[in-house]
Amino acid sequence: MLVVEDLVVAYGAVVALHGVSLEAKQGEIVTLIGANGAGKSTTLRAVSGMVAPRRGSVRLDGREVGGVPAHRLVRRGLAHVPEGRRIFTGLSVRENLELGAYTVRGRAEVAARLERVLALFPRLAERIAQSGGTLSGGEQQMLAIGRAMMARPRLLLLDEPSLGLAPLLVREIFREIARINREEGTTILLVEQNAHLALSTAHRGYVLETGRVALADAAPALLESPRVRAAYLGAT
Amino acid sequence: MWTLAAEFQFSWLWVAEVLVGVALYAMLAASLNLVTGFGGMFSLGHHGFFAVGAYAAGWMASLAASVEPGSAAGWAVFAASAVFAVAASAAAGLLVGLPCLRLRGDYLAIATLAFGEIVRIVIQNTPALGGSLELNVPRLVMRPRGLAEVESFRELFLVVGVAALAVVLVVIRNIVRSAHGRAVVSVREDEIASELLGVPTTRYKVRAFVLGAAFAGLAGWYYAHYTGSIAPANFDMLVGIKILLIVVLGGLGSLTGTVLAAAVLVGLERLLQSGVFGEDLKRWMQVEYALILILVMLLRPHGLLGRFELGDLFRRRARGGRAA
Repeated sequence: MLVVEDLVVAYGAVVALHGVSLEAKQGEIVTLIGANGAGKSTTLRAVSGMVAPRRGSVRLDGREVGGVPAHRLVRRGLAHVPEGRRIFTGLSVRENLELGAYTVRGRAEVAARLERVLALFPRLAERIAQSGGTLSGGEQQMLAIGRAMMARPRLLLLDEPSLGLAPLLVREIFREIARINREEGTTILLVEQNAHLALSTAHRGYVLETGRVALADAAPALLESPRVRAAYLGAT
Repeated sequence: MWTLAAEFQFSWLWVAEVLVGVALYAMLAASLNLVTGFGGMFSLGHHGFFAVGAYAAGWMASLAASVEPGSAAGWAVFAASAVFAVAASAAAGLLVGLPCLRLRGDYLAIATLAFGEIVRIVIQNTPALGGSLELNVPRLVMRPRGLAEVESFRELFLVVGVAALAVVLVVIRNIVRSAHGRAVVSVREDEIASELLGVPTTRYKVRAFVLGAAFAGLAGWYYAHYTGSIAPANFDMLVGIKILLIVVLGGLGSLTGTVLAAAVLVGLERLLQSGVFGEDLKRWMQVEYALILILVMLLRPHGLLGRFELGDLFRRRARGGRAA
């Protein structure tokens, strides 16, 4: 579904990715873990079209999409939940979700998507008329994911969904992520600081270090890897 | 305390003059509100588009100086100059918008401010437009009728102004309420999030910017024909700031507020200028004006009406809650 090859991304003179290659197959949850500044978010940004790659290729369903603006990729089945959630705080939960269906044609289809997303996140249904800014952090994250799901993406990019959330809520969010993957068949590319939780949820994982892929393996294998345990899981 | 100066009279002529000013500034502020209030682009150069429209209309009219005022030909040139003014300022909007809309916030404000100054300086150095002196705009739409001329001319322009303002308001309202209206608002709320939801943000921004420029051009057309002579000094930075002030005062994203704020601000200015409250208050006018603005911003930080529209009173649709 998604194939990234030798991706180089630079912000001005600062090179953030030095040739990253990775892949996500239909129906998989793939996670990118790594320290701050390793290039996890940059990889997502290059995949979703927020930044143009300097070199290398990003292929979605076999078609090159490197450098295609982000708004066009939504129609090709890609959704990106950015770091910091970025919900519309001045708009209601319903308005937020309806904007997520910007690319969806037809009122009936939008209504059907809304119903589906509210079934995934019942807490959003309770808060449907509230403004986005009045939600708790966890609810805002649910809204951000739900909003992205309104377009029925085939590939969902999630950037740090656990950021700033209480541990209990983080587990709830990750259960929802696994459920979306299972029930909707959505392929998920997950960037996460919480390596243990990310590897427990994902099928496969990549470890990024200073803009390069340091390790790639099945998630359970990475969980057992001494190198990952020492560097990212806090084990000695 | 002051006493009302006895010699000042609220003649109909004076009231009509004030109302013409209200219509003009409401038009300018509504067009900027589309850009800033709904589109989230901070522009300090709106007076530049106002100037482009005014000079486009004025230049066209000056070519028709020999046309009999009030004749069919006069009216035709009057109408054609409106089209020309709108087209010229829309083209200027596109020219400025395409490169500048990549800039954000403060940088866009600086770039648009520079544009406004460039327009003024170009006009100052263009002899065909009168240079730094006045460009006379011949009257096209009034037959001289002796002493009643001034009054009937002003009344005519009051009607023209109200009609032009109505067009501007209806078009902007329809855009904001349209199926894509919410997308425009989403761009203001969070451009990156909108882009990631599939909203072509640049296209929306350019469209709103160009349309805002076009309407400022229409205001320029109105102004040029009304005053009968325009000079670069009529389009300096203070005008741009005054337009922005009206938008902020009325509430970013409220057209009703824009019209109300234009009425309050222009009315207040003219009242203080008129000397009706005596010479002392007239002398301190600029200070009072500033003080009132500071007070309003302290008491109503979201503008007089926030995002409220007159229509909200009559509409009781079940709607998602919105922060006040």
